[in-house]
Amino acid sequence: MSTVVQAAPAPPRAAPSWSSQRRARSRPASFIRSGRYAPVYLAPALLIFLVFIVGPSIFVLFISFFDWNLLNASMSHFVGGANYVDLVSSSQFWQAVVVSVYFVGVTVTASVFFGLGIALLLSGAGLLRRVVRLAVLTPYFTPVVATSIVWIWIFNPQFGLLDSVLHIAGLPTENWLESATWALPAVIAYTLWHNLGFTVIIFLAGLATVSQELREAARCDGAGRLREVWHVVLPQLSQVTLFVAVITTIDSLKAFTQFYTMTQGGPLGHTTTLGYLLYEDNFVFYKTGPSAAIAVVLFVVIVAFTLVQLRLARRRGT
Amino acid sequence: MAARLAVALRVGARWRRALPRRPGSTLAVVLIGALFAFPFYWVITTSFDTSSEVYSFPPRFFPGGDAGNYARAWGEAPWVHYFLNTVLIAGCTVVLVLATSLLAGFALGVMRYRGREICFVLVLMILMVPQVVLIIPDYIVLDDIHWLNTYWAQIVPWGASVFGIFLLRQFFQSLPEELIEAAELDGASQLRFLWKVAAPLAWPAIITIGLYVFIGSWDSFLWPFIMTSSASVQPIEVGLATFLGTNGTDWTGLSAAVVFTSLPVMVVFMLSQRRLVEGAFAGTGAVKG
Amino acid sequence: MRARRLSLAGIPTAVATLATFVVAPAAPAAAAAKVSISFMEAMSSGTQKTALSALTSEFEKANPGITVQLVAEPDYGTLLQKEEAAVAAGNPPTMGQAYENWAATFAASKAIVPLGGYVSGKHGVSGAAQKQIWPSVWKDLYLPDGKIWMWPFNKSDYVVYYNSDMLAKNHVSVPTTWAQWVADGAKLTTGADWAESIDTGTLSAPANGTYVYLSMVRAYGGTWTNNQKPTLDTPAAVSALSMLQSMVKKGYVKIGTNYPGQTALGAGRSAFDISTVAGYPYVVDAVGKKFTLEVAAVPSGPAGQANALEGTNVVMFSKATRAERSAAWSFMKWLSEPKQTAYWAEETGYLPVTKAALPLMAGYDATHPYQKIAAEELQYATPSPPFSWWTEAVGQVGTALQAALVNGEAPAQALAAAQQKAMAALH
Repeated sequence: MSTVVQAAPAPPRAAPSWSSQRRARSRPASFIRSGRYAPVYLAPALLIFLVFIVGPSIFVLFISFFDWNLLNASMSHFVGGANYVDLVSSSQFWQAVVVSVYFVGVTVTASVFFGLGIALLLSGAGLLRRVVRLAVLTPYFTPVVATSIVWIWIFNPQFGLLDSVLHIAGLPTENWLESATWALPAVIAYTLWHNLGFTVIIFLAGLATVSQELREAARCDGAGRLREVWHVVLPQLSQVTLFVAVITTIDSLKAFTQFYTMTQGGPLGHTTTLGYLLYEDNFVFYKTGPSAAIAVVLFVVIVAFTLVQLRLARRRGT
Repeated sequence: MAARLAVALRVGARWRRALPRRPGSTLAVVLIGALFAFPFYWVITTSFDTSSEVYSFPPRFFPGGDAGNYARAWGEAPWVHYFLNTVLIAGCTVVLVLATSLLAGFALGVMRYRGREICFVLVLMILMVPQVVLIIPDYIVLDDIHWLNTYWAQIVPWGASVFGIFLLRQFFQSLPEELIEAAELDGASQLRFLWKVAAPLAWPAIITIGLYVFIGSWDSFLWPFIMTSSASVQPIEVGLATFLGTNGTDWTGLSAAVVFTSLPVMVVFMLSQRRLVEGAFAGTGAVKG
Repeated sequence: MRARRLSLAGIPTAVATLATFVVAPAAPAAAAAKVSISFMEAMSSGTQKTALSALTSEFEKANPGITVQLVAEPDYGTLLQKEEAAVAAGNPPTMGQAYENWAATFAASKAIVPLGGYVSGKHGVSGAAQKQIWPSVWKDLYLPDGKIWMWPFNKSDYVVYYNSDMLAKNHVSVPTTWAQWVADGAKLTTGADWAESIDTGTLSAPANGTYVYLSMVRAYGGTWTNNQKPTLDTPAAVSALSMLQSMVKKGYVKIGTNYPGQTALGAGRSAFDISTVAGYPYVVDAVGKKFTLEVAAVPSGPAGQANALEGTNVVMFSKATRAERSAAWSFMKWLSEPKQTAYWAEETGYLPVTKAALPLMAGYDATHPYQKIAAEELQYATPSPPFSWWTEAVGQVGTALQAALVNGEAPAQALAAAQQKAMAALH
């Protein structure tokens, strides 16, 4: 054990962060580093991306300039940027933008905050923590389509678990999934229940490499638990946190199934995210061209979101 | 770095030796456990109710003794077959993702050549394409290559993961120069170095990727419905969806099915928890680069 | 791939044109060479699934030259996506279930073929047999162009399920008019109980409540469409929605999702559940032995009785070969014949599409009076308007219901907004 404690605080190597730092010491003569066969190594992954994502995406970009007839392509005609103009002038689109930002903002913040908090509480020995770790991760293994239905039942205003508990406690009850105010938070609650386990595991992983020595030292100095977390643990976890933030951002911008089963975008579009709007226009209303335009916009939004996060992280990290 | 990894691993094993805890934190742990487990507990309770008992108020908090739902739910679909399909599909997807990610991660993390960074950024951008819109174009592609209604349609399109490539690239970037030099002295080829040295060191990252991809495949919902049509190749979600009828929902049957379809995964996780968490522990090496 | 997609474009047109000239198969299907057809459907669970498989194998036995492959999808949403994807890829099934508005969209894109030639052809349906089909069901087979594009399959309409013990306890009789329903609501809403729970539906997913409201509009003398345009804000619609709104405000009616009527009725908390007759097995399950469940016709209004025709028809996709088409036609016709439709009704709770099935069901109706009530209601049932824009119009109805019943907006205002958006979707 002593060897561990001695070895653990070895100065963290200059961690090349997300923004790949080119190594000064790479030697041009190295044949292991030679990029001669790089195309071959990249080929399998790129081929799959090309066939199933890039190609179809270019097709989607193409049809976003058409009044496209999905069922009979010959009946389509070119409309230029009309789909985009219609999009930015529709209130439905802007409502979906607000809903998406709300959903992503809250989900990501809560994932980081609760993920780290729970990981801090659960890192440790003992049967209790092992069992609770299992409890936290289990929802992640359950199919969304099945457990989101179970949660509809929990949110049922007359017979659901949640309102029963509130009722017993003498608190006001709510028609969660039919309320303009509460429907989205309800979906967020389900999403967190389902996904938080993965975040917790990643944070647990990160915590393991946090120097115990520094933590103990901080404690000897009489630092409170919160201060210890703030000054010692968090700085060492910045890369992990960034990682979690990016992954949950992308996952939640793409989230679809729970909206499909729990609220179908209602009430009054208060849970219609850009992803759901896309589905609605494409599959329900056959507006293939406009929905392609939404897809293009959504893509741009995700890229922008990610770039901002990376930029922020870079400024903080290195 | 290898040494450091080994250390991280052992530290992982050492978290057991915890610092003294406050009573408040134990209470919080119990509360969190209850919060996460309760919906699941409630599924179990419901699965033992009769259909008419479900609609009772206040709800019953203790399971009844009616195992009929299990018999009915079990008879509803060829579960074992669906389950094996799911495992096969998820398993093959994981293997394929790992293969493509190791190769691409190596090309982006270890190799040095002009255009590498651009390549990496382009790959990252793929992560950002909204999937919903690709369903119909992909259906057309799969139809053209005659893959509809096959296992292939459920494996290959998901066989490359930006997440996987990214994580392994980060990991490979941090491989110590000494390892590479030693391998060069041995005259090892790139592939041999990847297979014998780099990949084994990356196993924590591999575990994290495997978990993420496995669950993604396990969870896929619309895709298998649209791309397949016969039970012989369909996954377990198809069976679960049979409880969501068009004229009502069979809550008790659904609950029973959720229980027995999640159970195997839970057991596997319980048995492998230590390995998995410790694996993910060291996975930080990958995340931190 | 893209090139192929585009080059295919002309084919459906040609096929569709050809189809109008195809009169009937030259020989009975049984004698023809082996032909395989596929039927894409959403009868994926419970007795719906088993009954359809049983019927299919019986058909195959009677027609050794035809094999039918059933392609089951879990719900109508997925079914629609699957059919769209298959058509877009130029690889549709031979036949599929479709709602009227889907059929209108498919027909406008020349993805399906008209069935008139088959109906009146050599192996068609005799005039006498045609007359036996319920008039509302028959009318529902046409698109606005005056051609038959669909053939009836799983039809249903709405009935009132009610807790007769609760009604007796409160000295209330079954409402026969909507006004009486409101009055009953006042008497039934006591303590923890209320009259009924409904699902308003959303923009992308109309629900039972959407169509119950639309039936109410008809009962108050309103229309859904007129002159091929939506009419969502008629005075009748405003009065129906105002009535519903006051019921919600007073707590007689509650709003929920996922068949809330079934849930509340089954729990013994609400007195009524107005939903489709196809939900009968689920309601029976939910109620169990807790109280006496009975069934009545949907209440009437000042303009008489009104109901909404639910369920789907089948359509034939235009890519199929001539032999496949005649096989598909014999299958869909066979399914609608008295013996088969009676079996289908008894197994699933859907309604027999032809009156000729009723004598065969006498024994069943005696023990299941709900079937007879629902079948008789068919004469008052309005089919879903067969326009592709109806999808968005009915979505706007759901939105208006949510605005008025959840957000408390004024009914006239909510309906005017819905009408405006539905009009915008016309082209």
